[in-house]
Amino acid sequence: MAITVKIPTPLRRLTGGKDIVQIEGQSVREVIENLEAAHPGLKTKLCDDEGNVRRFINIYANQDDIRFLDKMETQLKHGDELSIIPAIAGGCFK
Amino acid sequence: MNTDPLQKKRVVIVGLGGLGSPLAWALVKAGVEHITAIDPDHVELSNLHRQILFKKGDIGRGKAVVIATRLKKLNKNCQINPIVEHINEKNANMLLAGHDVICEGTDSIAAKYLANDVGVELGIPLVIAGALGFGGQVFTVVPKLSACYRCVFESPLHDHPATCAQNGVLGSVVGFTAGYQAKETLAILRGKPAELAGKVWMYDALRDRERRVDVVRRRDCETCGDAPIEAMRGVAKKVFW
Repeated sequence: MAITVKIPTPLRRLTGGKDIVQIEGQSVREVIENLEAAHPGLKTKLCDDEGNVRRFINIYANQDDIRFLDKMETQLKHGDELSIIPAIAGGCFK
Repeated sequence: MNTDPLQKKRVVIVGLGGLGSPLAWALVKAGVEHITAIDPDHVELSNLHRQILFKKGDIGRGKAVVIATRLKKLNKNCQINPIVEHINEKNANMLLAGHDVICEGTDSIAAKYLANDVGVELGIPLVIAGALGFGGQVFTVVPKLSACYRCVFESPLHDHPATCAQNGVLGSVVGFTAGYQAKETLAILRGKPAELAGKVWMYDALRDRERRVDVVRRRDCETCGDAPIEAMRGVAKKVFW
């Protein structure tokens, strides 16, 4: 049950530069756990200490924001796409 | 006689770094003549590769003051109001009020929330931009009509995303992102539809790709929802840029 996960540019250091990875999982939570197993360090970037998605990051299942679905328990099916959308500050770097 | 409506429009730019510099240049070149330019920082050597309005001789001078001088050279009719100050909860309403568009491009997530909150309160459209590493992002807020920044990225109280100061940024990425921010700003000033209202635009320089992701208003949004929570907004506003 492969899910396509789109990795934003700031996190690609952790995926060896890959912008798209295929990860198994039946829910968003499972995908993130398996993402962490394949690319250690990603979960910490995406989730807080309680395992919830960090507030400056949004995850979309196909075109839908998972906050308006079942959040981390949102169910996925083969071929679905997860997009990670972080808030990006920046521009005034000294 | 030139009667371009842009001449009468007023834009405030919060953050005059890699995004704000090319943005200001593009707006003035397009015909905008009233700009409030806000940045507390002074020009540093490390700014020069991407903050295109600054020169080596400007090092140590306030960015807002330098930019005012440079923009006046582009168009002598420009009225530039330089503000060498942090924007914070005490001065934000005063500094942002009276403008037609708020452009935000600082390296501070707290400043983005503050500008968002005040812009929504004042009913002023915002074009918020960020750039980090090889990626850029632009997002437009039309108050009460499209998702605001806090609808999409909830309260920053406990979390802070990475910034350019930590991760660096490619000079051409900020230029490209600022160009998109300028395009969006000019559309709003001309009364055209804001293409990025309800969408987050993202640019990936490594793959030379851009994407738009649809975003929607949250009914429980602390800023623009049905019942804004004043206490939450107060806390957020205490995180100064």
